[in-house]
Amino acid sequence: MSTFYLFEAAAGLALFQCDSVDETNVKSKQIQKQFSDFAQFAEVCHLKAFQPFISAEIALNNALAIHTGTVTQELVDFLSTNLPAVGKKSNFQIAISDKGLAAGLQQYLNLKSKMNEATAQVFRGIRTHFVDFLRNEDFKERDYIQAQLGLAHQVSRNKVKLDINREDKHVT
Amino acid sequence: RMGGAPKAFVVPHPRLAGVFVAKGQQEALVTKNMVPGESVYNEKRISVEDKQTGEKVEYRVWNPFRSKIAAGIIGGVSDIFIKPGAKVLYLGAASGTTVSHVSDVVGSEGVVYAVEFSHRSGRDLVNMAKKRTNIVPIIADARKPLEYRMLVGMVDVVFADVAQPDQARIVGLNSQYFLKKGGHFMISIKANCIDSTNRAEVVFQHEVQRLKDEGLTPQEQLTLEPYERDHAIVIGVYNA
Repeated sequence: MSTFYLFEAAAGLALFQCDSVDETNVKSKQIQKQFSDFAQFAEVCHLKAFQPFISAEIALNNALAIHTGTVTQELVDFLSTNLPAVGKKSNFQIAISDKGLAAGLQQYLNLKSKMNEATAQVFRGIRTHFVDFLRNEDFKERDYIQAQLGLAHQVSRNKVKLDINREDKHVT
Repeated sequence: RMGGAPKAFVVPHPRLAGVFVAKGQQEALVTKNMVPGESVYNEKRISVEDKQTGEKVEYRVWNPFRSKIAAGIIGGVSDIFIKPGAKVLYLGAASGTTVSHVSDVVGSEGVVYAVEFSHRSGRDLVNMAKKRTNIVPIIADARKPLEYRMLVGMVDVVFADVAQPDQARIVGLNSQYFLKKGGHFMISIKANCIDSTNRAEVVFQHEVQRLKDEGLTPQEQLTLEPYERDHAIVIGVYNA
């Protein structure tokens, strides 16, 4: 059975396919070593698709939603475009790091989601090597951090703004 | 030289890359100011001339009474692992006074992901981060790392100054997501925040055990006296 991984980054949404991970023993020295080396990790985990956020506004809306486990239109479109068709014969699972988001997606796409110790370790591998996976998109470490910086400022501005509004509301 | 105060000069810290010591009238721990001409919290600045290039270089005084990392350095920790180019996840960033020094130390090649829950402090943090572009400001609850997973990459060091009873769990949880295997953690422990009924030494011992349970292996423990009462800093390595 195929296993896909949804990885949400500041720069965009990414989908990985990691079928040949030995899940029984993810904490073993051998597998940890495999996960820490990009070339070896890339043998068991492939980048299936990457959809950059095309505007700062879309990035912000997705971050605000995804961080609270809410499904966005971009996310539904991204997954329905890049995952195999869901049907009676479909034979894949998707690993999602957040329970709430997994439950939400279930309603939209009827996906079999998965979350355990092994998927957590694979997500660590993806986070470690994310920039290397995007090499072909001419995406560099600087771009990765720049996207985080820009989005973090937007998100925090949004939070502080909401807080001001809340303080302004008087109890009548 | 006859008369007058001796001129200040700055030397690298004997052990810690990116940290400096100002000598002269008074000795002080300093960091190289990333934004010359500006203080962050009214701290003193020292400008010295680089002997080779003749250019002015500005340093900011890092006060051990206002920063637990500075207190730990003066207390003699063997390593802080925060160095030029390092990526640091800083939990409990408050208004960002110590964060600004960490930002100086890691420099333009490094990153500081600074997490603060309080909106009031967070506002100061965000404003400071506008000028220091290696700080990613995050206003969020450090107990819920999934809520900022899009903003943080894999890091070399997790530092925590959250003063919460469940701080070992908070550091453990954040390390699971963001601290690379073999990366380091540094945690400031305020004894009476954890347990005010036991002696500080006993509380520290319990905390060390809790850290071990989270896969965090303590390697060094240091009291922050005389700068902070009943505080210790614990430093160690993560084995994912």
